[in-house]
Formats: sequence, C-alpha cells, structure tokens
Amino acid sequence: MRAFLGAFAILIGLALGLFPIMGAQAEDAPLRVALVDSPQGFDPALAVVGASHQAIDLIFSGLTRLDNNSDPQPDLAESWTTDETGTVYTFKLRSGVKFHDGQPLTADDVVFTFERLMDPKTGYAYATQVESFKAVRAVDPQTVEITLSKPTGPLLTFLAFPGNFIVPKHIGAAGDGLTTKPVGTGPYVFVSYSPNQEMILKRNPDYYVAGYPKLDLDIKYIPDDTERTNALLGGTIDFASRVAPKDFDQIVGTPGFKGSETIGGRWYSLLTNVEGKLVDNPLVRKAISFAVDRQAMVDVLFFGHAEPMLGGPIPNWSWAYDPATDMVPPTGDVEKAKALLAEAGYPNGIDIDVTLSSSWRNLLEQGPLLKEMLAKANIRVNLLSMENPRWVEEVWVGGKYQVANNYWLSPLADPDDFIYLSYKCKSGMNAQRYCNAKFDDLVEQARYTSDKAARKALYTEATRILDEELPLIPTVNAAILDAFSDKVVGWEPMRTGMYRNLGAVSLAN
Amino acid sequence: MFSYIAKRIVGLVVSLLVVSIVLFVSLSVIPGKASTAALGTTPTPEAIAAFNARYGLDQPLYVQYADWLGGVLQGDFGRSVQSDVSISAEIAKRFPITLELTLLAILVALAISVPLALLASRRANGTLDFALSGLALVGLSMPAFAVATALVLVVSLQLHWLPPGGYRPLLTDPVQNLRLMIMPAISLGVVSGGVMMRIFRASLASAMEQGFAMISRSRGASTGRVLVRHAVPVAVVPFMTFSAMELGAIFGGALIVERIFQLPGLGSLVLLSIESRDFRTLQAAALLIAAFVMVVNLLVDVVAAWIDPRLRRLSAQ
Repeated sequence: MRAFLGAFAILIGLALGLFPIMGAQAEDAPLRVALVDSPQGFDPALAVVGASHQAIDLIFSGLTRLDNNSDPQPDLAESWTTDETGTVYTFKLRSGVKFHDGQPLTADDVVFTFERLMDPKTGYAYATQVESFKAVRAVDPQTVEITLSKPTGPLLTFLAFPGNFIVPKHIGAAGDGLTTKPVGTGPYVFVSYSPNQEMILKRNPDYYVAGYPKLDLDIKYIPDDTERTNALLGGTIDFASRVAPKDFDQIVGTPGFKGSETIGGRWYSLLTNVEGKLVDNPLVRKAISFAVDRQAMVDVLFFGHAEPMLGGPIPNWSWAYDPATDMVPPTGDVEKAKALLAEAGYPNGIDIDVTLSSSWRNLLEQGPLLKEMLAKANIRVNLLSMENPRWVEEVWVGGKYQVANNYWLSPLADPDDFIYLSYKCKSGMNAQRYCNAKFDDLVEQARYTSDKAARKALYTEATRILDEELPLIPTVNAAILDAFSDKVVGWEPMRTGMYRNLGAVSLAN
Repeated sequence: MFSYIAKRIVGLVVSLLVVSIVLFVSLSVIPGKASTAALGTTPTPEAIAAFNARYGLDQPLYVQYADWLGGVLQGDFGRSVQSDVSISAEIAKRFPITLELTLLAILVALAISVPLALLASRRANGTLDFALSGLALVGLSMPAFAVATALVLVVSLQLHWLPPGGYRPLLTDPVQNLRLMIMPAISLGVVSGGVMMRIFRASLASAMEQGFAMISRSRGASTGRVLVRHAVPVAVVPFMTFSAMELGAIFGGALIVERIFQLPGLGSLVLLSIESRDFRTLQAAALLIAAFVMVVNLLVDVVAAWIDPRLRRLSAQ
C-alpha cells in the first residue's frame, strides 16, 4: 500500500516536472496569513464573533490600543486628561488622521461612534462596556469629552476593544454599509473578502506611523488545525495562527519554521449548571474541581503548552491576580474530592452527564480524560456529544445540562473581562445561571473604581466567593500558539490573541 | 426517441420535487436552530425574532416550502442565513469549481479504468487480470479522504511538489489552478477508477464470451482485435451508464475532499451550511447536485439509447 502510494507520488512528481517548483516569492509579496474562523460582518457595533473583532482590529482603530501586555496605550487619542472625580475624560485626537476613503477623522466621528453604541436600538452586544457613558461631546474638531456616570476602572481598556473602535460618521450614519465594506483609520485598508475563504488587505499609506505596516496581508481562513499546519509546512502560507498544541513542537522542530508562544486570555473551564441535578450543590461542584488533574490536562491535551488554573478565572500574569486565592493543587486531590462528596451526602459517588460540543475538537477531546480523572473520585461521567448549534441550545439557551466545558479568549485580557461576563447574574456568558448579589456587587464596584489597588482587593474578595461556590471551574490557561516560516521577521504575540502586530512583520529573503 | 426523452424529463422534475420535499422536511427536524448558529450564544429574544422574520423562519413549514418553491421557480434561492449573501450568486460562484473538480476526477478515473480493464481483459482470469483487478480493489477500497491525506503528506509535505491546498481561478491563473486541482482530482478519481475498472472488465469479459466474439476468434482474429472491434462496442454502454452514476459518488466524495484541499466549491459550502444550520443554502446546493447527477444520467441514457436501440424499446414497454 505504502509502496503503491510512493510510486504514485513519484509518477505525479514526474508529470509535474514541467511545472515550476513552488516557493519563490516576488519582491513586494504580501504576508500570507492563515487565520481560523471567518468573520461575520465588519461593523464594530454589530459584530458579535471573535473572528470579526480580529478583522476590525486590523482595519479600524480605537482611541486607545493595548500593548503586548494588555496595558492601554494612546492610539487615535494622542493624550487624555481626567478630572478629579474620575468621571470626565478629555481626549486629544491625533492630528492628520484620515479614514481609508480620504475623509479626515474628527471629534464628530468619535461622538457618532459612541452615541451609536449607547443607543439601545443599535443592539450593541457589548453594551455593558458603555453602560456608564453619560455623554460624549466634541469640544473642538480635535478634542472629545466623555462624561461618565461613575468612575470606570477599565475605561481605557474598553476603548481598545474592537467593538468600540471609531467608525466614520459619513458612512455609519447612512446605514449598515460597514458590515460588508469596512472603512476605518487602522493600519490596513480593506480590499476584498470572500466568506470562509480569504480576505485581502492593503497597507494604509496614510497610517499615522510612517512605514507601518510593512506588508500587505493576504489572509486565508482555514478552520481545520491540520490543514492550517499543512498549509504552513507546504509553503502556501507564511504565518499560521492558533496552531494546535499537538502540531506546535513538530512545526518548530522542522527546519525553516519558528513559533511564538504566549499565555494570555485563552482559558478553559468546566461549566456547572447551578440549577442542574446534583451540581446545584456547591459541594458537588467543589468535588468535581478537586477531582480534576489540571496538570494531566496540560501534559496530555496541550502537550505542555498551557498552565493549570488553580483558583479563580484571573490568570496568574494579570496585575489583579492574587496567589492567595489559589485553592486546588495542580494535580488535583482525589481524597478531598471524595470527602466533599461524602459531606454532600454521596459517599458512594455520583453519576453525571458531561455535554460536549463535537464541533470544537479541543473541547471534545477533553471528554475521555475528564471521564477517567473524575472516575477516580467516584464521579461517574456519562459523555454526551452533539454538534455545536444543538449544544449551544441545550447548554447556553436551554440550560439542559449538568456539566459542560468551554473555552474563551478574552479580547481585552483585563481582569474585568475574565470575571464580570462569565459570572455576573444574567450576563450573556453566564451559562451556569449563577446569581450571587454579593458577588455582583463586588465586581460592579471593581469595574466602577479607578484605583488599581482598590480594584485588585475587590477582585480578590470576589474570587474568594467563587472559590467557595464554584459556579464555574477554571481548568487551564492555554498558550496562544502561532507558527511561521523563519523568513517572518519582527512578530511579537499579544496576550489578547489579536494580530495587529503583523504590521511590524517583514519577510527576509 | 422524442417521447422517451420527454418521459425521462418529466420523471426528472418529479424526482427533484420529491428530493426537495424530503430535504426540506428532514433538515427542519435536525436539532439546532439557524438563529443560534448565526447570532452566537447570547442573542436577545428580539434579535432572534428579527432574524427569523428576516428569513421567513417564523412561518409554518408548508408556507416556508411554498415560498421557497415559488422563489426557486423564478431562479431565486433566497439569502444565506449565515452570510446574508444571495444563495444563487454564491452557488454560481462555487459550482464551476466543483464541476471542474468532478470532470478532472472522471478523467482520472477513465485514465485509470479504461487501459487497465482492456489490459486485464486480454486474458480473463490470467495472472495480469488478477493483479490488475486486485489493484483496482485497493483503489476502490480506499476512502477518498484517506487518499487525499496520504497525497498531502507525501507530495506536499515530503516532496514539496504541489501546494497542500488552496484555490486559484482557472481563467486568471490556469497553471496554478491545475496544480491545485491535481491532488483533489486524483483523490476522487482513484476510488471511482477502481470501481469503474472492475465494471468495465466484467462487461468486456462477458462480451468476450458471447457468440459473436467466439465466432470472430474461431475465424482467427487476434484477442486484441476481437476486444476492440467486438467486445468494446457492446461493453461500453453499461460502462457509460455506470460511469455516470459514479458522478454522484464523486460529488459525495467532493464534500470532504474540497474541505481537505480548501477548494471553495459546492462541497465545502454544504459542510459549512450544515454547521451553521444554513438550510436554504444546503437545500439549494444539494438540489443542484441532485439535478446535475440526474441530468448527466439522462444524457448518458439518451446516448446509450441512441447507440443501442434495444434500450429504447425496452423502456417504451
């Protein structure tokens, strides 16, 4: 069989001797990048999926941007001042910035952008980020004043979220044209897009940083991990985003290829339905958490490219992380899990369903390992798997599950983003249906406080509640893995998993 | 002849209608709604209602079907619930890609099956016959995706002869287009080629045993001459009919193979549509594939009937 294929391959090869061998690239060639998922719309206010935000991040700009470490830096706003109450921010816009259609960026565009986001009729999916916005006013064409109803700690970080990026009033006011033909002020100009296939972006010649970006972008959307890896190794792309952990070491070990690895906001968890049978008991949820050997998950599922999460959802690199809130050993504690089950009234263990989405291989493949780990603590797992649309309906919409698993990549990598959305009562991302007034109060306070130290103390207190009640079980924080040809020079990964840094990349000969 | 074709066309239209109803009903009972797939995990009830109203998904099923059929009769397949593009336009863009792939795959299958079947039939049940039939069995036993994966591993990743996937339009870049199409066409063609070789060989063998062939041989004609002059014309009719049916199999295989090689054809559209519960698109693509297979079968049957009048009389009874 193998000989047959080999002979076959040789025959094809001979036939192809006629064709030029692939590889050689033209002088001004674009950077060929493979991203995973295809965007669904480019209008910052209307986009809901991460793939859209990834694209918006390349085409539009916000008042601020996040650096590689997720700290906000000036972008369209050159500088800003705050009044003593922390509720009035005055942003000075960078001068000479133009939209891709040549129109100048003015304070009117900024006012239009935020008033549109604040308007409930817009249906902005991340409206809680602008909840404290009271008024946005153009002081002069280069100055914008944002008045808040209360001091908002993560404001400058929120402004760097692609949903809050500045859109041109002259286009946005005319309808929903930005959904298919985005016009921004960002480093790349939109050329064309074929859903599930490719997006072509050109350098913005008027970008405010001279000589940036260095190359045009030719983006392919390749959702399958193996195909993305093959495309890189086969030379049809220069840069593969989100390489599967199983492929990463192999690619990096192949001559001619390199990789980048950064721990960011890509965290995995077990969702526990607090209204579900058995798991409505916090002791049972805690028992499950102690039964999980996170180190084994890191080693087996992520090939070492992840870190165990031992307490709450705030990752250990964040300024708001407090090691005192860690409570589970990396390898778990089976005896403790059994003791907790006994305390809950189940000395002989329990049977639970774990509902998995078969459309996400990285989530599905956790199933067998979970089953084995939990069995050691007498938690007998029945694995259910279903396609994603049905899974979303059963787990997120219907709440017809006991335990499920999930992962998320926080586009802000801010403590608020980790803790607020996933746990706050009735938040869209709270699939566990958890509601705790005291907790809500703490994270609300933390969001609406300016002082970092005070915010950190509030997050620590909130995390202690989560450690006791475990409405969701954080498991591991997976590294963001990208791999590329060794001709790619100048790439630095971002904790947010965004790709604006591709602008600094050039191709060596 | 004319009434034969007319009858077949009526049959084709009825078959398509039945296919469309079966598809419509079976797709509507699959769990998971289009709105969930399109609007993410956290849509408001208003957003869901607006979404359903926009695409007519709030109507009873029979109304949806009637609306859909009315549109289809005017050449309008509606809008995709996933990308909001016109389904007709999307399919018009993708169909030529799948068509090119299918034609190339059939060419590969013919290039494999015809010479091998002729070689094998020179001496039925001889050593060469066994060897070649065995080889064909290997080919037809391999699923297309396995051949595709093996080709990518050897040809692209080890030998670096061909890119592992992607697409360039035939008209703008024919050389690159063919280089990208070769492996997908071979993946599909090898499997069909194996089946077609065995069918052709069997038809040739039975033709060789018939009276006219025997007589011709007893008069001293060489095996090769009898094969080409007498057996092939008889065996070619069932072979053609069978090859046309293989088109359906190739289309089915194209679902996965297009995905593996990132060809933006109908097959990858079907898979995407299932994942996003975009049933109007799926329905349109599936119906087009069914129509294509049926039309090709019809054409082949007409040609066969033209070659062999017995078939006409048989079907007229």
